[in-house]
Amino acid sequence: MFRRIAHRLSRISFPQLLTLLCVLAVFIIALVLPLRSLLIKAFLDKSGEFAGFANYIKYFRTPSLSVSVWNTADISLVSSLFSVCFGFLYAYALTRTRIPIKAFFRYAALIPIFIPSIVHALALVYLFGKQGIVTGLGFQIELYGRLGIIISEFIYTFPQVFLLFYVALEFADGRIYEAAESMGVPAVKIFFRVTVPEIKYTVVNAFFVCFTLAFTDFGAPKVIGGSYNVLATDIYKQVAGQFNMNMGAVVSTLLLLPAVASFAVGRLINNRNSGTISAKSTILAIKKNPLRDAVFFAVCASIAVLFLTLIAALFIGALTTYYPYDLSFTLKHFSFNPSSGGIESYFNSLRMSALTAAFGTAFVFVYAYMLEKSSGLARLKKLGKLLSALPLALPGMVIGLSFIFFFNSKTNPLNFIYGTMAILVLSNIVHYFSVPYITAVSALKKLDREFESVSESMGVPRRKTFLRVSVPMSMPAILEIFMYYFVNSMVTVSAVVFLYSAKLKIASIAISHMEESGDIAQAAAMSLLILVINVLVRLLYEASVRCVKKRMKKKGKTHEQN
Amino acid sequence: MSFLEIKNITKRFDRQTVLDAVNLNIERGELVCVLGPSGCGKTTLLRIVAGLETADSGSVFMNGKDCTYMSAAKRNFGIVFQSYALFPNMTVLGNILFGLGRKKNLSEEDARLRAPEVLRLVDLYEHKDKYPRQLSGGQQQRTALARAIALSPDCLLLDEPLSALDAKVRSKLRGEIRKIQHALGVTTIMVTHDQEEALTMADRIVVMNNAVVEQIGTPREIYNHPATPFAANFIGTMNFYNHYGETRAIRPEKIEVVGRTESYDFTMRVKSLEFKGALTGIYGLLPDMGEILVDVSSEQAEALGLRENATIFLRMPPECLIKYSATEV
Ligand SMILES: Nc1ncnc2c1ncn2[C@@H]1O[C@H](COP(=O)(O)OP(=O)(O)OP(=O)(O)O)[C@@H](O)[C@H]1O
Ligand SMILES: [Mg+2]
Repeated sequence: MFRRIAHRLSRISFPQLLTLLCVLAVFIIALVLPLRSLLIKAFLDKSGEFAGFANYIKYFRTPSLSVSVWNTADISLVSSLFSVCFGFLYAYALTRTRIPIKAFFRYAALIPIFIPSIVHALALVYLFGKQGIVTGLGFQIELYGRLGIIISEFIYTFPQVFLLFYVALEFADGRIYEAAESMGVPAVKIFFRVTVPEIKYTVVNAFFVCFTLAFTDFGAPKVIGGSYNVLATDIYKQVAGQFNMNMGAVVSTLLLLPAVASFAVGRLINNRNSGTISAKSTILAIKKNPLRDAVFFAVCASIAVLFLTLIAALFIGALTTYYPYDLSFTLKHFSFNPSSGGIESYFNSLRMSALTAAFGTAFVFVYAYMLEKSSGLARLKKLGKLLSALPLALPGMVIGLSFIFFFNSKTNPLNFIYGTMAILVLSNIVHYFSVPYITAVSALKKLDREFESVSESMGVPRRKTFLRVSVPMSMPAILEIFMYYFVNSMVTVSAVVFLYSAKLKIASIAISHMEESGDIAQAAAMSLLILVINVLVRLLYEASVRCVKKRMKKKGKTHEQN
Repeated sequence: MSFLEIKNITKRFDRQTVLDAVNLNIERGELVCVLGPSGCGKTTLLRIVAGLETADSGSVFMNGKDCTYMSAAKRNFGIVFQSYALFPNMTVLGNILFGLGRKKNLSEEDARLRAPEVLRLVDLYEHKDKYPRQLSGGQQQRTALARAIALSPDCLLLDEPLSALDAKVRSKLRGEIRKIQHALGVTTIMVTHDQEEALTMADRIVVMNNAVVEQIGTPREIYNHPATPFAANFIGTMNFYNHYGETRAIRPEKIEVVGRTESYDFTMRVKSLEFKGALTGIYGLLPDMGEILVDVSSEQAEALGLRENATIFLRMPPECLIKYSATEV
């Protein structure tokens, strides 16, 4: 019996066990323990005594605080409804109609991803603010407050919804549609009987994604919220303004609610979600229909124009001397005031994003590889899987705050990373872990399970198989993960707003400071710098994926009598 | 003492028993086919022999040495998987060198020489710079084989090496694998669910069903004297009928069709005829005994002028009858 266990252990191999323990330890230190500190904090009073639910009772008994819950739910609900509707129409247009310049629309939809959510709001100020371009044309809206937040969140969440629907609608089984048409089923009925069932889970999913994003966003309400309080800005005020850490922790836990709800719903629907696309599916041939195309073109065009206008507003703001009074060209706004972080903050952001992308990609890929391909260790792997889903539920504010509580504690031996680049990078890796993890797992699942067995029987160490087979075969996924980490780290505000130090400011935070101190033009200039680098990284990513795929394809070009 | 001894191997996944006290001895240099239906535990057995899976109980001896707890790398077994598992990002040569580089007592120089040698052996030398996806199914199969034998394994384990190929290529490769195996004299275990493959290639066949070994024997023994009704039915076709409480079995081609004047055991009305090329199958009902198939040479069938609904006379040579107790069926 003992030898059999020993054999099991020897099959696992020491390096594998060590690697798995390492990645799990990182996860526990960077996620589970900080979260624990946060939860504890919510149940303590200011002197550190156990307070039970006293903090929560106080919170809900104070109308000026608890009103934020309803405010946040309100703006999240409305912006999600709009986002889901238009995201669907936009994706439908690109996949199921014959509108022109689809490639252009596809890129246009992604514009908001490349700038911080603060900047969406900032651009809106340029358009609809007191001296805004649109306002100047005599079109006035109540921008600061509820409406402004809703529009900002719509812009912020639109790309995510669009991508979800695009993936869901991209592959259609042409046979079903042909069969329905040949039976003379009218188009409207086909839509409701075939298309809608195909995507109903995506609708639910998209709604929850949207709702959670809007519910937890900090950037837009910060700039454009005015006196309309939402939870994310409340946390910031409690912590940074009043140093009431316990109340900050209480509000943070409320921020988790939609994620918990979507988790529950996600569990319910994922179990029933089965793919209907088989290998025999034929590609859907889209019929001509000028009226339909015209309508959809109008929808796409208005959204694309909205996004482009936002970018244009940034350009105008950044490159004119004193908008709207002096519209002469200048580059002076690019020499930033040192007080708000200066150009230094931009370089810090670049460094942070590059480090996050490099370490994050390595971490995610090794993590996914260990869970998918290591032999034995079933219990540890189960724990790893459980943990991997956790970051999806955690908004940046919660991660940032729990990092303070955990790493800033005097008794923590890791206290020294507080206020350094390391803590920023770590928080980003954890914050954006889930999407890259799913990307890595699905890439690894496509590789033959027996690669590892073959190598093992040939006496090739696991490390070599990993480096020589798994990594090169997953290159497109690895590049995607790298790009995702980089772009998101460039635009993130919510987690790092608690973690940057005076000596180590980063660009997205600098934008918010510039905006606060009235240097709007400098804020716009900094936004442009972020936009440019993100678009460059994206283009670089697309070029390298094309290159890698071409090389892979070349290896399989002839594909003879197979 | 056999070269490889598998003793009392038992393996469970969750609650399902996949291998139940499996015993098997394999002599040096022989080719043993493990034959059984899908899901009966063949691959699992192979993985345990290879050291890629741990048995719940039982042991594996090699050359009389207990190697139950030896790691896969130390066992020096070559494996070809059902999916071939060729590394898609490496050429044929790269695939073979990948494992060779790791072999102790083999210098880099020797590895470079060894690779072309095995590639010539499997007749793939001119394809050595192609990538797996540029190869036909048969060539991929041979690449996987070359990779496995490059390390001069003590034992070769093949998991359904031919099941992904079409019939023509398959029968050609059967001969080739057999030839290479003979040339190298390497002990080989080959898993298959194709009875024809097992009958034509194996020195001995192990018939498995539902986690247990049903019979071990030469192809001839198994065909002529199947130990259990399952073995009888799984390999070749078998007629079963009830004879005074005793189950009797006979192969379709052993039944003789005789003239009415000769001595016969049964009369049968022809239900349908099936032309199969060299043979013609005659389906009919024996009174009280159920459906029966008789195979006769097509010439004889023509000479007899068989038609549907005709009555024929059958003789069952007693030496060809196999008897099972009723409980076994
Ligand atoms: N890792 C595993 N975990 C759980 N069950 C398994 C595992 N591997 C195999 N099984 C189960 O064990 C049984 C035997 O599997 P095995 O692969 O050995 O069958 P096989 O005889 O090789 O079948 P086939 O001819 O289809 O390849 C199957 O029912 C299978 O579902
Ligand atoms: Mg198998």
